[in-house]
Amino acid sequence: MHKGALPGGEAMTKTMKSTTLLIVALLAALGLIASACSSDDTADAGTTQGPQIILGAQDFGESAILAEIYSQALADAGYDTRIQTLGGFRDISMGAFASGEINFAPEYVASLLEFLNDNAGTASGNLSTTLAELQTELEPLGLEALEPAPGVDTNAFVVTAETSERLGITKLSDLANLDSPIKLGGPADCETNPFCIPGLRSVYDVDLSGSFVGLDSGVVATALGNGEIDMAVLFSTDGRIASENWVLLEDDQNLLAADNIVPVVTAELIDAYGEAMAKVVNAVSQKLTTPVLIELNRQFDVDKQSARDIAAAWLADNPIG
Amino acid sequence: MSAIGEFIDYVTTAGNWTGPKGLLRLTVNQLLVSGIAVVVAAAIAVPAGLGFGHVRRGGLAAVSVANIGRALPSFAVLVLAFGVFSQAGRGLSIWPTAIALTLLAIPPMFTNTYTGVRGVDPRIRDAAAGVGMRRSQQLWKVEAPIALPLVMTGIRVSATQVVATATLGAWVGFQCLGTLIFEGFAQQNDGKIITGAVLVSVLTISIEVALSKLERRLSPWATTPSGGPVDEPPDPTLASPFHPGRPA
Amino acid sequence: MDAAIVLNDVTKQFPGSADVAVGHLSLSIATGTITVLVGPSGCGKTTVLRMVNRLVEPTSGQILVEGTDIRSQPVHELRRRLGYVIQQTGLFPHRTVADNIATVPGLLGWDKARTAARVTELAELVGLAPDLLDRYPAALSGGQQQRVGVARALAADPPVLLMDEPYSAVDPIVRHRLQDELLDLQQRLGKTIVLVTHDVDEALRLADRIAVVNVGGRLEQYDTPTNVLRQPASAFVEQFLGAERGLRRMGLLHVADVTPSGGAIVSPTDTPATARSAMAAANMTWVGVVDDGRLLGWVDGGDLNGQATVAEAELRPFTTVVQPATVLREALDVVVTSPMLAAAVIDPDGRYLGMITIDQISDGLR
Repeated sequence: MHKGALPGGEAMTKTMKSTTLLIVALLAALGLIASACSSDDTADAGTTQGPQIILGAQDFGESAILAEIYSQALADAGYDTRIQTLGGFRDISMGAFASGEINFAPEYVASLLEFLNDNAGTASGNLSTTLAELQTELEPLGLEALEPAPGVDTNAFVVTAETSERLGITKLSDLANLDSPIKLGGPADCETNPFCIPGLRSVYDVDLSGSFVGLDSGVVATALGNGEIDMAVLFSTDGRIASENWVLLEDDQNLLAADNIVPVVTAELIDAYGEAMAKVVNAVSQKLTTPVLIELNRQFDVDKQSARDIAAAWLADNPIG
Repeated sequence: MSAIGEFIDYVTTAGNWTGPKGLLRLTVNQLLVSGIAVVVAAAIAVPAGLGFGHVRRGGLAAVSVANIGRALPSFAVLVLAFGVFSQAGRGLSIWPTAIALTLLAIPPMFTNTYTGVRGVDPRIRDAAAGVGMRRSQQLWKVEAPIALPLVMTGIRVSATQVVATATLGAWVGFQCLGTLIFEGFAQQNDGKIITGAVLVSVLTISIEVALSKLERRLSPWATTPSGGPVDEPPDPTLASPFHPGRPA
Repeated sequence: MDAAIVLNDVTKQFPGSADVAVGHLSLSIATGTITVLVGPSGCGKTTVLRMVNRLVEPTSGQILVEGTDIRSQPVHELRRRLGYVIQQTGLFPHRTVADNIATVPGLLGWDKARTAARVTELAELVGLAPDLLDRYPAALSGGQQQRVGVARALAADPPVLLMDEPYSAVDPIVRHRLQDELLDLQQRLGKTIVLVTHDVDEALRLADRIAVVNVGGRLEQYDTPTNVLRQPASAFVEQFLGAERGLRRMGLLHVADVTPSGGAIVSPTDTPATARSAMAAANMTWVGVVDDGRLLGWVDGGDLNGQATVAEAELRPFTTVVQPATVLREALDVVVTSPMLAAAVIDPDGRYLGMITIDQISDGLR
């Protein structure tokens, strides 16, 4: 489920709720099995001494690909790494940091900030201020954000080329000119997410709450392609936007925030490996541009390749250091 | 607030019960889609099971085929069904969920019906033919009623599975009790999640209980303890009507 | 007597089997009799029975029921005229006893009142208490279930009753009683009954005629039970009947089947001299005393010492008495355990018919 990565989900309360705990336990168990099955992820534990780097991957393609890329790059540089598969909710990955099950996770600057600050709405399109606020939130948790990548993955409001032409819409502000609300489909949190329906209402003065249908992220694109919904909430890096020739409506009034890819690590990891590790990670991040993300996601969603193969091929074509 | 508190809060808010996404509407939809699936599945699986069981051949292969449906993950079937219906522009309707649930419901009904008919004591089949019943009468007057308890068990197992699984419909845009769970997770709303889970459980258990009662009602003979009374000892005066006058 | 069922050169070979189950069997079954097909298991006797109601179709040959070829009418109509009782009854577990009995009337479309009256009548006929009618078969004892099976077979008053190992599931005591009931039923209703069993004693007990069947459905002998016992047609029959053929035969014959001797008899007013000469004539040491056709007792020869009449001598009561209906086997027991090695035959009215000894019994068996 993709929605864990969406910005602005209601933040986790300090004491975990009982249902959440249950799910955490369940998924942790699944994760243990998954990690047991993939123990060969552990690359040559050769040159570098210190704690194992455990990367948390949420259960959607981009998260898995990014975890693989960072893991393989670090392994190539001589670090002992493995990947811990997590559920689709952000409170699980944050819980995994707290319990020591992971010490590294590819994250999104604005979404993580909004999650940690209880949806205060301070995330904006300005990357540096948003990143600074994120570091402030991370510090008391013993976490640190490394350099963000240029690549951004935000909510993307997407229509088919045919709809775009028929209704004459290319940017979000065009939605206000329509006679009747456009039919929107997307993950269920869109109804409460400040960067989705509430944001469209406040920034663009368009109320789509009555014409919204919540869908599993796996079928949103199907529904759009078959014309069952007029507009889909996807990720800006979704590979199908390019392959299907869909139109990503321009965020002309800056509703969406700076959701750049950012590796989050524990302070303990920084203490152990210092600049050497950060250098490897930052070198990877630097190359992760939005077009790169779109292509990697396309290989996953459209070509149905595995995250590990995609990561290995990309690293081979783009050697680090 | 505790999870229980949020649940109580949610269900005691009158506004949550009404409207297009109110609890009443969602419950009705959950029952509606389950009802369609169970009826359609029964219309396919029960006659097929009766037929294969009656002719007593090809059934094992058929059971294997039917059970493929059981091995497929319901969610995968649902997504596939959505894709198929979506191509006809009917993805956002009751049908993907109804069809996926139908496929889920068929195997237990078919297997139980087939087993029930196939398992009728050969002596009873013999007796049915021997007293002069036609083939159709043998099936409808003897084999089917004797298989009925198992058929009903199949329907009950299917129905409870279906009602519980109908929850998944929410993930492909079908408004049902699952919508509460689907949205509750995405929106971090425990009240919604628990309300959905509790209502689904209540429905499932109610249907289980109701169908168990119906099952017993339809086949009163099946609950009679087997093993009747022992034959009474014969009356000695009847054993031999003529006593030779033996010396006293 | 007419033949109710005729088998003409009937053969049955099951598909996939090298041997014939029944080979070239011809058999004629008389109306109103009990015919028992008996033989070891797997001999094809059940197949013979099932060919009559077409649960098994013959490979070749012809079967007539009441003069018409059984293939000349729809099979379900044929079967409704042939009552069918099977091993462990085959009762329908989902129907009450009454509904089980009413099966064939239901198929024939009888109205409710007629059916109900018939069910009541049959329940009484086979000895089922009325309160059992509303129960399901599972709540009945084995013997009760067997009676329901017979009542169901008789419901539409079929002329023929086919019974396949009907008593194999009940214990020996109950079996004995059910057999008596069947004989009684047969006397009252005069049905043609064909019964299959592997139990020689059952066959001997029930049959008017026994068909001894060997493996492959070969008819080894077809005769009355006593004839089969007296003169087995083959080594197979002899072996199948087992030991004690003479005793078994005596189990089937009655005192009435042997001719009693007059014995040494005097009247109470006869003199001792008359008695002595009667004893001498019969080569006996005692004499029976009969007055007006009734046996008063007996007088030992040694007690006759100068009395004026036999009546004055010590009259001892006669304790070894049999009746004409007494089974010969029991009569033999009485004779051999009596001090005088003889038994008096007295009819149910108390009339003296004569004496039997080992000699008379042995003559009767010849």
